[in-house]
Amino acid sequence: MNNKFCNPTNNEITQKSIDPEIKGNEEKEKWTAALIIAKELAEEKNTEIIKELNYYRNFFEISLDLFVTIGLDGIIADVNTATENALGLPRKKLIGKEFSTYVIESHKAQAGHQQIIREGAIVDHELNLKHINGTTTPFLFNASLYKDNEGKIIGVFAAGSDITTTRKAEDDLIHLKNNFTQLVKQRAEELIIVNEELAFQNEEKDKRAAELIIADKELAFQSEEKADRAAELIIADRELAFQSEEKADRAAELIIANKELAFQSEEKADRAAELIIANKELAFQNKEKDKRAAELVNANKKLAFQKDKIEEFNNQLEFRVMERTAELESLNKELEAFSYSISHDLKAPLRHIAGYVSLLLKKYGNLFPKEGEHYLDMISFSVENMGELIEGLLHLSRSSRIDMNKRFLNMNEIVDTLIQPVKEQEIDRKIEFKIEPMPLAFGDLEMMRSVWANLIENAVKFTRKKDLTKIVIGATENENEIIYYIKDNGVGFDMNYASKLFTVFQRLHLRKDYEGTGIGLATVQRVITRHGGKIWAESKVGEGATFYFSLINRKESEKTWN
Amino acid sequence: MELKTILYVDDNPLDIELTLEAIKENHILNPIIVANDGLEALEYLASNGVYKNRKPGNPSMVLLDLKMPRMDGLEFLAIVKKDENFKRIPIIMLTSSQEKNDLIKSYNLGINAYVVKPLNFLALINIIKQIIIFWTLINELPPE
Repeated sequence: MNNKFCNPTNNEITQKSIDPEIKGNEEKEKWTAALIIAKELAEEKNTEIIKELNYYRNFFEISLDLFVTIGLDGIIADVNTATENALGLPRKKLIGKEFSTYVIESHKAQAGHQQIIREGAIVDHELNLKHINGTTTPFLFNASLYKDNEGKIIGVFAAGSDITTTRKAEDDLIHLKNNFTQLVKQRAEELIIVNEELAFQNEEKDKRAAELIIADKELAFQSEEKADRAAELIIADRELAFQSEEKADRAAELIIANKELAFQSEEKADRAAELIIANKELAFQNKEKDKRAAELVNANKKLAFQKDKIEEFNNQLEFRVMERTAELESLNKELEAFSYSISHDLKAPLRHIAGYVSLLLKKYGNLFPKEGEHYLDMISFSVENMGELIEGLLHLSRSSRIDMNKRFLNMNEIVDTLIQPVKEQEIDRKIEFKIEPMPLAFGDLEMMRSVWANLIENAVKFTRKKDLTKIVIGATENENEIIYYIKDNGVGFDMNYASKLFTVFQRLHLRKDYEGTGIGLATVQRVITRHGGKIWAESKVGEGATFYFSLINRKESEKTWN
Repeated sequence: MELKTILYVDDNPLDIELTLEAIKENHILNPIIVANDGLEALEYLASNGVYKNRKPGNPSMVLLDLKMPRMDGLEFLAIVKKDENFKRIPIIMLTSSQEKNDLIKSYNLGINAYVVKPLNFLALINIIKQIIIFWTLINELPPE
């Protein structure tokens, strides 16, 4: 416990008192007596000092203000009772602690402490202290430096007084002041509004005054008008009197008009009667109309019936077509069976005849006289002949039976491949072929090849007796068809028989002059007909012949086939 | 060397006689078995009926006509070509038909050649010679 500057001990005072040096015995007694006196005096003085100290300490303790001594390091050195009460802690716990820990504004407290050390004092420094129970109390501190006798700074002495009531009074004052300011502001605003209202009312007043002046003027004007109207009324009265007279006149006219009306009513009745008649007429016409309608319905029914009939006919027709088609199909099959029969059955016996004649000649030929041998030769020749006929007929029937595989054909190519072997075969003859460029044909390759083969064969055959054979092959084209032709400079034919040219087994020349079956041109005609074309020939005896055949033009056939 | 057998199937006795004459003309000595229709030909192949006791083995080739009673050439072909034991025997059609349908059907059924009987007997002799030489001498037969 360090209280040496505020609570000095008796020893210290005693030591200071007996400091002077005592010299000699003589003076010893003197000095002893004096010492005794001095001691008595000192003791007396000490008692007084202690009394005084206690007296001041009491002041320190009983003060209602806080008294605190703080070291330069901020550590509490001593506190009074008021401080203990303010903080809720006994002195023992407070001494030796950092003072700012009990202050809410600890930084402000430390700054204040520094200011005291720097400037020597601080005045009216407001700080809130923390009580151990959590409450805070505002204090106003005044503090100054505490120095010893040599003037050395020992610490800070601070005194604080509770300003709770002052603070409350201040707050109330601020509150009152605020309220007052608010009230003044409000009143001022109200006054401004009242003023504005007053200004407006003044304006209105002025307006009304102006209006009153105008109203007065209007009233004056209306008075004048009234006078005018009165004058007009007089005139109007006169007019009314006049109109009453007019009314009487009109009444008379009305009577006349009524008579007219009565007459018109009679007319109306007449018209009504006419209308009744007209209505009757209309009714009659309506009936007629109904009748016609009924007739129309009948006619429609008849038409519908006829339509049904037509449909029925159509159906029958379709059925018949189907029937015929089926018949045709079966006929075709029969025909096929027939050709098969020819190829197999008819050819077989012929083959046998040929075979046995051959065997007969081979084995026993030397036994026959010359004439007998000739007969056998004739049998063989006839067999060969008949074989050719059968082959020709088979070809003919095949050309009208087999399915066509139509496509675009290069006629020049077909002709070229056909005349090449002819040239080789007839190497001894002078034959001049002139082949012109021809348009493409749309048809079956095999069939078209057989057409050209037959025609070329004929041309070569019937020019046999010419020294120089000239054969021209070409075509002409128009929008709908292409006409191909083959012209020779051969023996020609009589145009009187032209119609027989394409008939089966029909020959226009002697067999001994020009061999052939008479089936070739018939086959050609079949093929051309199946392609939708025509064939014909022009000739003069001895001047050659020209065969023509037409095919549907490529563009046309495209339309037809696509 | 043993000569290879030829099975000849035809119903017309005149055709048979002429064909055999043509073979003889060519001095061909191979044994020729003549069956009068497809059924008889099958009996021969299977060693049934009248052929019960024939020498075993397949013929080296079959000359086959189309149109025959009981079983025709196409029916016979259909059966033979499905039979594991006979399907590799070369079959040459010898017929007077040139019908497209007959040709197609025959080839579809797996024939090896199709020959049309010529009208001319001398031509027949020549054709027979070529057929038999080719199929019995030139052509290598399938192993049995």
